[in-house]
Amino acid sequence: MKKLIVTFAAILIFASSVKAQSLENLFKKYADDERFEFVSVGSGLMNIASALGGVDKEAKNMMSKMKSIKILTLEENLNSHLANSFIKELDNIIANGEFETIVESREKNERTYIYKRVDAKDNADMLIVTKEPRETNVIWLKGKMSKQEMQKIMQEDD
Amino acid sequence: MERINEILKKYFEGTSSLSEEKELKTYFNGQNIAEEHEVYKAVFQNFVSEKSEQTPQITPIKAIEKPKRTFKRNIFLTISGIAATLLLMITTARSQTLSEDYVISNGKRINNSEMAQKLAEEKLSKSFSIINQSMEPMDNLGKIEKKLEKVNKVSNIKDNNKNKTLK
Repeated sequence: MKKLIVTFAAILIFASSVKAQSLENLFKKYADDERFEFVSVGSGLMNIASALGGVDKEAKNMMSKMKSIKILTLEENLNSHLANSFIKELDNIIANGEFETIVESREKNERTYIYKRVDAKDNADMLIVTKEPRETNVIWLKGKMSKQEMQKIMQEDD
Repeated sequence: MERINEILKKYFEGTSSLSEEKELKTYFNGQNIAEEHEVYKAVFQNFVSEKSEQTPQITPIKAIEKPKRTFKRNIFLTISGIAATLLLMITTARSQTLSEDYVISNGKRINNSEMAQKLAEEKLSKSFSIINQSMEPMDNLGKIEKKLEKVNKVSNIKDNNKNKTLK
């Protein structure tokens, strides 16, 4: 019985680490790529949250719960091979990573998607994907937030 | 005796030959030293003692035997090597995590906290502004709905009043 519990726990831990790794791996893979620009902010995230203009209270509240932000920018035509394969990889990670779509907006040629994910250990991820004709941005916010907290913020936003 | 005097003269003039110097050495090393030569005895006996002195043996560095490496010593060296490497890795990793604010542009890492924050702020603002723009019609729709509700309320009140007066 003990063995069974240990094996089950090991599988759970492995599965959760694989989930987190895939997004981590995508950022690692393209961060050093010369065609991409990569920005990482940890300690200064609070400054950004307070400095953001035109952002509602709820979004700022959510931002304050986040501990780090990583941004990947690809300045290339959306139809290019690189942009296509990058978006494909990202879509796969979103589909397999149990992300939930919060916002999907389309404005002329610009598309923005916001996804959220909270695991059993309250590790919260927020993913903002912006697709423009000549630029793709992936913004990954990481922090600690329970599902209830996330839900509350979402309801306040409604 | 005269011979000795002659050689001594040559010796002090620096013109004596090696064989003559040998002669002096054997003379002063012997027992029959004339009284007038007693003064020089010490000088020439020194030569004898010098001869008996041996130059110290210089052992080449290569010849020095290295202490044999024991198994324990080998293990100690390996472990301390690994420990040093781990320490270096931890220190490097720690310093990397400490500087979390950075930018990688054209494959080059720029450790500039201010620059990283500014870029992140710009990109976030841009994304949020796109969302806000697309949400604008929805907001307007909400406002219209609220206004319509008020109009409906007023018309309902009017209807109610009409009904009351008719009754």
